[in-house]
Amino acid sequence: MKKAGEMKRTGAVRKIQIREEACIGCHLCEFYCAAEHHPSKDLLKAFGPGRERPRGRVRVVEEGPVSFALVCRHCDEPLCVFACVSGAMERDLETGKVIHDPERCVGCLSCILACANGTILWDEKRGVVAKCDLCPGREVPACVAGCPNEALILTE
Amino acid sequence: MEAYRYLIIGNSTGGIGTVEGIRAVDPEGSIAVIGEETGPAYARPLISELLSGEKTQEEIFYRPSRFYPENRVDLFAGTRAEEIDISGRLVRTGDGKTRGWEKLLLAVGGAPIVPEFEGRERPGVFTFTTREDALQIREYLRKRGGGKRVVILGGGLIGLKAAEAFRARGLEVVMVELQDRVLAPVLDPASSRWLENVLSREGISLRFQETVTGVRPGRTGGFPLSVELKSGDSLPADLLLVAIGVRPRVELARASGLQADRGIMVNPRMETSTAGIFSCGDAAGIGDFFTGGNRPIPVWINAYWGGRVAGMNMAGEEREYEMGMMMNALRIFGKPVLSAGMVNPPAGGGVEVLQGEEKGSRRALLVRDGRLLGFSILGEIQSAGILAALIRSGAEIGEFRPRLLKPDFSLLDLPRGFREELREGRWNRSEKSSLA
Amino acid sequence: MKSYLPPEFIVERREDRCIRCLTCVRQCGFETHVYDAEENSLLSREELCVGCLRCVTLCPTRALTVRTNPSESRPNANWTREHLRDVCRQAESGGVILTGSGNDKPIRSYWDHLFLNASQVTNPSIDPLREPMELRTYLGRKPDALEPGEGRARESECPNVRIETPLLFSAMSFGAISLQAMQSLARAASEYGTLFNTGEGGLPAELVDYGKVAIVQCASGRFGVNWEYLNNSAIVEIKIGQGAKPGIGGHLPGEKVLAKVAETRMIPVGTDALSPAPQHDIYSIEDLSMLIYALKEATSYRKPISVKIAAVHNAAAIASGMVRAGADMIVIDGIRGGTGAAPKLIRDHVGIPIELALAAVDTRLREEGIRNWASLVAAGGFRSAADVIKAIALGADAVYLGTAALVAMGCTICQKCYTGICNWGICTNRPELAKRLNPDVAARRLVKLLRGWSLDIKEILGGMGVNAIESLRGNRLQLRGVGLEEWELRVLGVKGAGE
Repeated sequence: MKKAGEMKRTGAVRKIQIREEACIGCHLCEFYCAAEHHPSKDLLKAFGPGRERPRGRVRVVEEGPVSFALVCRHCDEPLCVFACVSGAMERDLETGKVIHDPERCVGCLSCILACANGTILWDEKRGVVAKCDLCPGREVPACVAGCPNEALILTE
Repeated sequence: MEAYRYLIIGNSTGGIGTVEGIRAVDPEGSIAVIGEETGPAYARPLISELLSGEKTQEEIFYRPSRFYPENRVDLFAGTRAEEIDISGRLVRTGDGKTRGWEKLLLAVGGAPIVPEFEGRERPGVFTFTTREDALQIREYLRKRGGGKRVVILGGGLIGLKAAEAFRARGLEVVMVELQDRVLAPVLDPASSRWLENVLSREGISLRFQETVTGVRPGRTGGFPLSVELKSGDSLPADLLLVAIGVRPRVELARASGLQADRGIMVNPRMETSTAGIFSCGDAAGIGDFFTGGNRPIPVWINAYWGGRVAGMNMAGEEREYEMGMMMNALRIFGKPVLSAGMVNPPAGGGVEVLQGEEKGSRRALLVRDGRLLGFSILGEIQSAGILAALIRSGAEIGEFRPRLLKPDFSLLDLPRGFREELREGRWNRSEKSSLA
Repeated sequence: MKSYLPPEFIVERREDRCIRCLTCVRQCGFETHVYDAEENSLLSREELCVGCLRCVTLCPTRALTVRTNPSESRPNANWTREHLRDVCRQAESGGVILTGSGNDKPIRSYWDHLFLNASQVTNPSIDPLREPMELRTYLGRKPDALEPGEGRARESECPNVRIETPLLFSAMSFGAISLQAMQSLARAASEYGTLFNTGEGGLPAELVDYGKVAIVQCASGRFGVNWEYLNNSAIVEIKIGQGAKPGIGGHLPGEKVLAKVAETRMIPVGTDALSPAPQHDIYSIEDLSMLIYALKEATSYRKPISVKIAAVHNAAAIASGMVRAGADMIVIDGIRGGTGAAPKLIRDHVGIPIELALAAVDTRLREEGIRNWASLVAAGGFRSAADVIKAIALGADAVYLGTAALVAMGCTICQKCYTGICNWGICTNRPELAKRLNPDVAARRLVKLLRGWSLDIKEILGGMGVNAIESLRGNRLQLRGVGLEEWELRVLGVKGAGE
């Protein structure tokens, strides 16, 4: 077990960096993310005809030639964690990841009010929020791997 | 006698924030937490879910059970700190024990305010700030076969969440509010009206500019209580819930010689007038973001964040807290209601209110000297946190201000430089944001 | 008027694989794909498809196939499909047919008829993985002789530019290509130790730091030419002609002259940037010499001056004149050279193949004893390191890569460069399209291409038993022709295979 005191001394924290000058507005990150978080982990199965379309944890916004993905930056001092009333939002001591447990989430929206980047998504249907978890079990998060123009890159 | 490097009085969010702040800096120093309530820390805002029955006690624990051992914290729950000996660096608790400390933190929270009306001690009159309150109300209603009608005094956050919980239990709810609207301190008037429509639709009857003058034994319909109102009306009810706010618990601090005004006075490092003693949470008077004056701002994130800053300072890492603003997030009957900063223009003018309403969603922004002071947002709340960051940054919102009213407002609506600053996490005045 | 033109391509969408992500809709700048939200269906307006394969490449489920339209009119060896289309287009437009990229006609590729030698028994081949192999090349005039004891030529007489591989990036102007594309070329050149070429559009302010690896052009429009521009360079190049459009000037339409392009070209925003067909101060070799020396004066004789012409019938004589006029480097651009925009007829029918022109020029300069006065660079349609090494054996010092570099960046040679729409973000100024080319990615791909081709060249050199590219230059004995006429062998200066 990692000692709690090593909290801020987590060495290389992986983060997704956004390079908006390279974002081509294809929205593929949204699809790769949603598929990765679908039980099937498969684009075709997640989005096949007649199925309910899953939502990802990344969202692309665009206006004219400007577009970029909104995705959690996994702050070192995450306000969403500070604000979370239920303890659903937690910063993993070992990896520096800010992780969210939908089971404990009560949908109070405090994290959304706290996040300065607007990257926590409100899933009204399920009554909980959703955010980037950096794709546990993957070397490179699905959005980063799927971005055709390296507008999302993984930094350490 | 046990002695600790860090002794924390208070086992709610402020105390937990302090533990996590300390452990972020000092992995070794011994920590003890004294909690007045029994058991591990729980998510206080979720007592309404406990009341409604949606959640069990275990389901509202604030941290997983491994929290205390993992952080090597000795928890003394169910005992009250009675006396602080500053010169001897000791705390005496209700269980007769005395514990030593090198750094002390007071996160003793607030106590519910109950006005001096006749019958306030009568069974069936409750406050609603603790887990125990929720459990007792449940037990009381169970004994009354579920009950039929409750009166809630106070149209604030606690009152509203309680109202929702009572409605979930199938009770009639009458809400009595002294002001002419609900959530007056945290919403602009038009947003209050918007929300009142929601409440009325959900079957809550609202009595404004009204208050409780007394509680007498019930006379009709088998109700045990008759709640007397200022107007002369009386409302037969099973239960009266008094939810008009909390006052900081400063008695212990004052008795120990710490300076306390409306709250326990702290500096930006969250240290009290006595070196080595810190405070946070609803008991502490923190620096108001707008005025700089000290006052308690009883908001969850302030308690945690202030505690975290206090903890880091206690462990020797210099940090300043300058958040000091109201921030409230609420979902009532499924409707998102978010607000932050200043939501009602202060007397004296100079503050503009920008408003926008669109398909089931509305927002009101307060602007002064081209800077955002606060907002209320209902409905589409997705990027509210960016607005909160804009308040904290003190940035001029010049050209893009009409965009702040868009329901789908996002980082995209800010100039590129702003976006970069926010992505880099520079939005606080102390973060040397170039936005300000 | 209803168009009689059938779609050139058809789009096939596998419904069982399409997840309605709409990437194809968003990515097609020609608006071929249309989403009908009411029906949740995707349609293709195939008449708009240019076959660039952007949608096919990005489709995450590989649901798309784009194919040449299989509909055929009655087969006719004379009236080919292309002839029919072109007649139809002109009957509908009444204008010249414009196109982009290089000649796509099945012109004999002499590279494919030339074969390289390798060492066997009598001389050892070299393993380039074990032994040093020199590709370093110097561009510029070389001295006629070195005095005894003089280690190197005096720089003032013979300024030379060092490149680490005999591969240069061709002239492609900012305005024709996106800033991102030019930045990618500049970065790759800088990283690998070679040069890129500004073309005739000037050097954008964002790229001034890359002046050290820039060949800056001085063309007939004189766009962006000033003292700083000329001096912030490796080589200054006078552009007389271009292989894709010999005798033709350039025309960057006003719509493409956006603020940054206008600033770089030093012309008002929105005005057409017209490069006259000739350089109006050069009507003779003597005039050329005056410009060459004007540029040498302007750059204090510190930089080689290059002159670029299209490969035309009497290229050899012209080249001799250019060298005698003072050019330190001459560039011959063959008929397969690319362009951002040219009349299709010109592109496909004017000029001669680079192989023949290169051999003729090299031969002529040798015969006149002035080959060392100038470096000789060949350009126009180099497809692989094999083409490059054969060009060097025919006499080139280095080659320009244009189309190959574009392909490395994503270009699929759809030939729609002239439209201002490039789905790959290369040949466009529209910001939403240009950002599709991420210079980080494109520069990396270009560097890898340079590296890959350089390794290929080293392998082949090693096989010949040669350890420096110098030793191959003009060494036509390393080449043999197959399937060539007597006159072709003579012009190329190579023997037939087996001879």
